[in-house]
This record gives sequence, structure tokens and C-alpha cells, in this order.
Amino acid sequence: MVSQHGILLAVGIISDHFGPLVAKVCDCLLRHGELSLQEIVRRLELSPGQVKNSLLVLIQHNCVQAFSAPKGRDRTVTLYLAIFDNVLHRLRFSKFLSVIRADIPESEVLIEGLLQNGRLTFDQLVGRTISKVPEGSIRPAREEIRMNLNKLVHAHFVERCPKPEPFIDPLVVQQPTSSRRRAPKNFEKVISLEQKIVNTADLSDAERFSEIPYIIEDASDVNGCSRDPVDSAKRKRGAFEVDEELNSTIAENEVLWRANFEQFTFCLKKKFCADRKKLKLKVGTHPIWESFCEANLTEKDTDSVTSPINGILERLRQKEGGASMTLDQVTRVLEDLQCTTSNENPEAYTFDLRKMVESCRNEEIESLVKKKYGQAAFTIFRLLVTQGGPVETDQIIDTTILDKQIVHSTLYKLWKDDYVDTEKISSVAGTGYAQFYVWRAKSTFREQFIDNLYHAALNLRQMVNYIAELLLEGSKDDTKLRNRKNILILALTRHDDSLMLFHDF
Amino acid sequence: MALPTSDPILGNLRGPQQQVCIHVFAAGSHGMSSGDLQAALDLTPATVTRLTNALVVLGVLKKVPAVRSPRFRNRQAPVVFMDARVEPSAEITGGGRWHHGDGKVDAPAVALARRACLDQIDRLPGPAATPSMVHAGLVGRGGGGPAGVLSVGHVAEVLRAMALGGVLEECRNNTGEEEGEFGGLGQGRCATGARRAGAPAWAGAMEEFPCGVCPVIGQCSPDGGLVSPATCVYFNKWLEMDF
Repeated sequence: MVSQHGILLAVGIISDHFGPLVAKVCDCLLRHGELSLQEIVRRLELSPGQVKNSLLVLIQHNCVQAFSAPKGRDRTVTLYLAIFDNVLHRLRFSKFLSVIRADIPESEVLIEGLLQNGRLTFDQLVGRTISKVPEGSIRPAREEIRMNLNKLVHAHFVERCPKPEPFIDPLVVQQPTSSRRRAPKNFEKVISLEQKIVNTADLSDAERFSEIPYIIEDASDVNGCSRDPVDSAKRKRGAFEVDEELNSTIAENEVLWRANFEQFTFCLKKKFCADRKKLKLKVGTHPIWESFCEANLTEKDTDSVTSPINGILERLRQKEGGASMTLDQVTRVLEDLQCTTSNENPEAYTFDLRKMVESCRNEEIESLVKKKYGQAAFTIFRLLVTQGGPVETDQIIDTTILDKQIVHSTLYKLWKDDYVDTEKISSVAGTGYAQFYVWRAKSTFREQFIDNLYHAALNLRQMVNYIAELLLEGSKDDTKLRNRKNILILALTRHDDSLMLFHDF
Repeated sequence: MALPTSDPILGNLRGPQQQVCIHVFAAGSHGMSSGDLQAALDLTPATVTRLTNALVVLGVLKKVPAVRSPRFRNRQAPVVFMDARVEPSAEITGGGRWHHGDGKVDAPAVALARRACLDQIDRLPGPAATPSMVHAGLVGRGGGGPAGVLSVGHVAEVLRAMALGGVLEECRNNTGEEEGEFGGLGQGRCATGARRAGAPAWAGAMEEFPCGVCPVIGQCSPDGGLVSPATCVYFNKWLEMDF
């Protein structure tokens, strides 16, 4: 289950975007897991029509997945599951747009449409794109739009929508399996059901990312002609051509497309790791690291980045100072940066993102401990985290070389805020002490930290809304309020990096 | 064991008592526990107890409780015997190398040791240094002063504490080969100067606004109540500060 403030944050987002009614339904699903329509109606005491419409909105925007589950022996019931991750992704649509702007700028308007509307058919996308073109500008041709959409599909930024109502038996599914996303072990059991449902609903990769096929058009077949499959059959072009045209028509009229959040998350993760790593690089190694990041190929999984040595060298030569570096120097630096080669492919270097993400997470928590409780707490907390197991008070005092008084008071502060756990151990007779205390970093300190992250995001959003209300009411301090609002929005955008680091990367 | 001829006390003792004293005096300010004596002299526990008790009564040896000695952490020997004329080392009495008896850190000594070690790491070629390298450098520089009396163990402790404090970075020789930057270091721990890299630890955005370090975040609720964002004093201060 998602933490308390995570749910509040998600509900806040839905409320801001779709209104309080939809937010209530979303809240109910997030708190109680998968429910049927009847159960939601009963719990919320709303009319079935209201609940149904809310569910439709949530499904349209990919925040809820429906599925059929067995009920009794031979009946099935439709259950609805809220997808917490997708709700939170709504916070970062502007970041997703900037990824496309940098990568495939001509398709930005298509992604914008998909993000704004949740899911659209190709026809709807074309209609929207044409309507958005300002007066006097050239309208893009249908073919051009199709090409731009296919670029997005090819790069996996856009996918075909999953099955609307797959059959899943939650009881069978509840064995803890390794989820596709490599979540930390203590999360595995919690998210496996949601992830499994999402996985089952998803189409196979081949189908998910299958582009809109092109068909060779007749000279007479100009824009605007109806692509009626029956007409095509009548033209007797042959079974194969009819199928192709049918496929194309289905792909354009009936297939729903949506943004593939996983790919966007992966792009942001790569960028995040690349930027963080840059801060720690030694002088002279920046060009090599940048070349490595630019040269990477399509990844098989989202936990590592692989680049071929030829690609790296090629890009390096174009950089300042890069042309003079020898292969030996480059390989040595790459190894120093923890890029490894494998036996199957000695020509390619792989960087493990998981380790980097893990160390960034630890750094962030430790840095906050330092800011909140001081240098002594930072030292003690790091000792407890690196040791993993219980550490006796005296050993903490010895290893950190701190005053006994300071160690005791710091441990108390950390214990009060749930960062550390303590245990009293009665010693064996004869050692001179009746008992002594051991300390360990609490196993749930991560969850606590993540909940605080959500809480902070929630507070920022509340402040933004509060200031927006004040602005609507009109006040003489308009500029001041607007400035405050911008500062808060900027803080929220940067804070979202932390949310992604701990939840999505 | 050879008889140190200069010691008059030893000269007055005979037989097993003399043997016990020779060993205990040799252990200096660390003393020896009854278990150590049993192992060294190959005597039964009862015999050792009888001998040591007699020597304590004579005033030749004294019993000192070993409160915080790493040697006894896992064992049940709380007491060591040592030369009555010798002061027990801080290790045994509970002061530790860096702490006084009351638990307070010997701040000047620690600060001096830290500075000396950091200077040494900066001086040494290559990005990393083991405690032995740092110690060798300190001894080589000589110049007297407290820095000169640090043992390798002391240096290792100081380096470890600095690594935990974020001033240094602990790294391991990952290749185990003789070449490269780690040449000559062999296996085992080394410390590299994070100071030199100059990279500060990454701070999340949460530290920039008040919620990150808020002492009452546990009581903060979006629905109002005593503590809520709209009425938050810290938020108001933070936002106003920018003007």
C-alpha cells in the first residue's frame, strides 16, 4: 500500500485536475485496493452514474486499470485498480515534454495532445494537431503527422493502450514474484499485485510498439477519402492488400495511443545519473563521460546504460581535448567511472544505474540528517547504515570519536524521529555491566523518509493553491504573490526529482 | 623469560611468583588478565589466582577493572593485573585513546591528529593512502609533537572517523593488481581524499524549503488544525525572506 501522504498527494493532484468527485473515487481505490463498481458506490454513497463517470475519466487518463476477476465458481466481476505511479506522473508532464523537445522536437505537439487527453486515436490526434495550427500557418499533412507519431512509437515514447479488461485471478497472482521494475526487496510483496495486473493488461512489446503501417495510396486516394474496408474489398486488390489496408485503418481509427511513462522515466533517470556523476568527476574526464552518455544504444532493461567503444570514441573526437586521448587512457577512465565490459561483448561498456541510484538515495537521506540534526548525527547515522547490524553505544562512541554526551543526545533525537532503533541487551554475568544498549538504523527509515517527501510535496501544492486563491480574490500585493507562487512551483519541480529518485528510478 | 636485572622487585621474588611478575611487567600499561597468564605460563586457573592474589596482597601487582578494552569485548575478563607502579592505559580504564575517563573527547589531541592525517594525505602522491602510508609519512616527517606519537591504530581510527564524517572517502583496492593508481597498496582498505575532489554531498530540494527540517512535520496536516501549510510560520518566513 502507498503511504498515507502519498495517497493524499495523489488525491490532491486528481482533485486539482478533474474535480473533487473524481478525487473521491480515486481516494477510495487507493485506500482499499481493487474494488468493483458496486463496492465503490456503497462506500462513497454516490450514485452509480457519478462513480461510473469518474471511473471513465480515470481510465481515460490511465490512472485506473479495469480487469475481470473470478467471482464464485463461474461468474466474473469487473474490478478497478488505481495506478498510483501514473497519478504522480501528472506532476511531471512538463519534464516529459522537455525530453521530447530535446529528442524529437517535431513530435512535441503530438505528445502534448496525448498527455493532455490521456488516450487518443490517430484520427483524433490529427484533428487536434490541425486545429492547433495558428491561422495562416501551413497545415501539416496527415502523412507527416503519421510519420511523427511513428517516430515516437519507434522510440517507445508512445504505446498502444493496454487491454481494457484482461482476466486476472488476484489469488493466483499474490505469490511474490520479481516485479518488472526492480523495486527494493521490502517493496516487492507490496507492489507485486498492482504490477502484475499492469503487466498482464499490457500488450506484448511487439504489439505495444507496433507502428501505424503505411499503405501505398492510389493517385485518386487524396486526403479526405474515406478508408472504408468494405470499399477496399470491393476493389479486389487481393487478400493481402486488403489486410494491410484494414490494419492501417484499424490502427488509425480504433487503436488508442498513450504516452509510455516507463520510457520517459528511464530517460529522466539516465539524465539524472549523468548529471549527478558529473559533479564527482575528476578534471579532464568530463568529455569521456559525456561521450559515453551520448553514445548509448537502446537498452534491454532500465537498470543499465550500454555504449559501444566505437561510438564513444567517435563522439569524443568531436569534443574539445578529446581527439588527443588514446584508447588506453579512455578505457582506463571508463573503468574508473565504474563502466564495465562483459565477456559476451568486450567492445561495449555498461554503467549500472541501480548502484548509482542507490548511492544517490543514501546521500540525500544522509544530507538531510546532517542539515536537520547536525554533523554528529550525520556521522553516527552513516556508521549505523554502513554497519547494517546492531552497534553497541560504546562502540559508536569509540568509532566516531565524539563526546559521550553528544552521542547519547543525538541517538535519542534520531530514535525519537524513527531513524534508529534500540534494544536493551542483558549482558552475561561477570562483565561488570548489568545491561547495555545496541542501536541500528531502523529498517523503515526509508519509508518514513519517502512519506515525508510526499508530505512536503503536498504542502508545496497546498501553498500554491492557497496563493492562487488569494490572487483570484484580488489583492494589492499581486506581484509579491505571483513571485511567491513561482518560487513554490520551482521548488516543487526540483523536489519532484527527489520523488522520482525514491519511487520511480 | 630472561630476568631484567635492573628491577629490584623482581630480584626479591622467586619461582612462579617471579615468572608471573616478569610477564605482567612486560605487558606494561595494558596489563594481563588471568586468562592471558594461564596461557603464557601454562598453569591452571586456580594456581594463577592463588599467585596473583598473593602478589596483590604484597602490593607488587594491582587489579584494574578493564572497562572498555577491545581485547575483552567478547570475553568475560573484566580485570587485568599490572605492575602496581604503572598507570593503566586509557584503553583499560575506559578513557579510550581519544576520550577522557568522563566520556569527553580530548578535543585538541583529536583536532591535531585529524589535521596531521589530512596534511599527510594531501602530501602523498596518488589519490589514495592506507593508514600505514599515512603513519609512515607522519613518522618520517618527525618534528616531534603529539602527531609523532600516533600509532598505526590511532591513525586508522582517525581516518575511519573522518570517512564517516564525510571528510574522506573510504575506497577499496578493487583490482588487486600491482599496477595503476593503487600500485603498491595491495588489498585492503585505503582512504582517498574527498576533500581534493571538492564535491559536496548532494542535497535534495527538500532542504531548501522549511518542510525538510521541520521539527513538527509529524503534526502538520493539510486539513488545518494547529499546524498546516497555510498557517505555517516557517513557510511565511521563508517566502518573505526572498524579498
